Amino acid sequence: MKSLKNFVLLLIMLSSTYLSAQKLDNFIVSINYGTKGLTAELSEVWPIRQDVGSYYDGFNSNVNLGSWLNYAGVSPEFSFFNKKLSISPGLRFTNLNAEIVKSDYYKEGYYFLRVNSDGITTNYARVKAIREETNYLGVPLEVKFTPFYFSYISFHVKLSAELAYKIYSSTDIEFKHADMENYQNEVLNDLSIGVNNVYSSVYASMGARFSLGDKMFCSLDVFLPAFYMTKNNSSLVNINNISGAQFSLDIPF
Amino acid sequence: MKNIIKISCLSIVFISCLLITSCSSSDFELSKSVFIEDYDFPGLPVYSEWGYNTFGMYIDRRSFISYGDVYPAKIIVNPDTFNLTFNGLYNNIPASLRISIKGYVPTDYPELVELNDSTLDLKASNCIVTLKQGGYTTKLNIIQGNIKFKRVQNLYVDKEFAKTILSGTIEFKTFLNNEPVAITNGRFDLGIGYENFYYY
Repeated sequence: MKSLKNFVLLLIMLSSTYLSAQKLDNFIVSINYGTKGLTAELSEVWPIRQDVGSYYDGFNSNVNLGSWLNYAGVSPEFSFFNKKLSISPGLRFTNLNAEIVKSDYYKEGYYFLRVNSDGITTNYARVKAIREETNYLGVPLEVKFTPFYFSYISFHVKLSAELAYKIYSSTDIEFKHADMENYQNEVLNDLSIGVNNVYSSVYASMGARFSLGDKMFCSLDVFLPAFYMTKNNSSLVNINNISGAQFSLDIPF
Repeated sequence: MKNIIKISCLSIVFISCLLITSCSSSDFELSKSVFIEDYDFPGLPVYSEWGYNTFGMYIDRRSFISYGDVYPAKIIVNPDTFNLTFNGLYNNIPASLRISIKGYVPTDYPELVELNDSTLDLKASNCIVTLKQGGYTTKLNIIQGNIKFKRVQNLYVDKEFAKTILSGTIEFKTFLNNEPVAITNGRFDLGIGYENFYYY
């Protein structure tokens, strides 16, 4: 998998180098917004007592896992070979969220989080939800191939890579009893909770660009599952898969 | 005067109800059984130290496990003997395995932490093991074996003492129906509290 990632990154860099020596056909600035749905499993880092997502003997042990990613960015697009091939670097802000919420949260449901344990004494806390938010700022790089051009629509496929650095991260534990709020920092320190400072992924997508008339376009892309994604971008969940969509407003110059 | 007494009594009853209700709800959550199957030993729960209120063991190839609404374990100390009873299903029939230790007398469940990281030889002279099934109770003739209390811990929830958790393993050889049998891969993770500890 690592060799595949390296190959794809090398391919994109070589393409960029080659294309930068070609005659530029077109230049477009793209403002884009994307969202990615993530499938996830509970991370083993968190010592949560109840089994996730199960009913036992009619008792509700269900805990809902949620994870999603949104981003916004701006990308200049350079086209070559009669607009068949284009390359887009850019700047992207990525927001990654994860949460573990008791399924009967609104009925004051809770689960148990082990706060600490030292041999013969163990402390649990009743917890309603744990939420985590992480923001990254980074650089995407896309290579796009547009084989089909029509009057008002064109179809394309993209190969993309992105590299981003963490600029913010916070984890919040919602205890059932307000008295336990003072425990939050102690819990997070004891568990050595942390997320990866770097977020990177390599993925493919396919989409279409639509003419809005008078030199304005919009694009819609659908992501295929990522070939590669960095690990530990969330301390709450292990992200297994990734897919989503991106909407762009494209302004040619 | 009569009205004051009436109001005071009603207040006491009301507050008592609240206290009882709050105590019951916290015990109720921790009294649930969380059975997570061990994929290495099908039919048995994984070994855990969370107070999942489960146990399981193979009697030859058949499983004897905790089930349903029945308390998986009760501890009865009376008067000079400690009795740990596992209540479960064996061959789809309710069964109980009781381990009795003469001379060990904890008067309350927090004292059970004395058992932490200890091993009891089931063939010892002060130890009796009985199996109850289908209304018949059989004292088992132990060939060899032991019960290990790998971890015994006092559990606090939101800084209040809640239960004592007994976690460990058990294995031994004995006779059933005049045939030698092996009880293997036994594991237990039990929450002991007011509702299943008896001293009298």
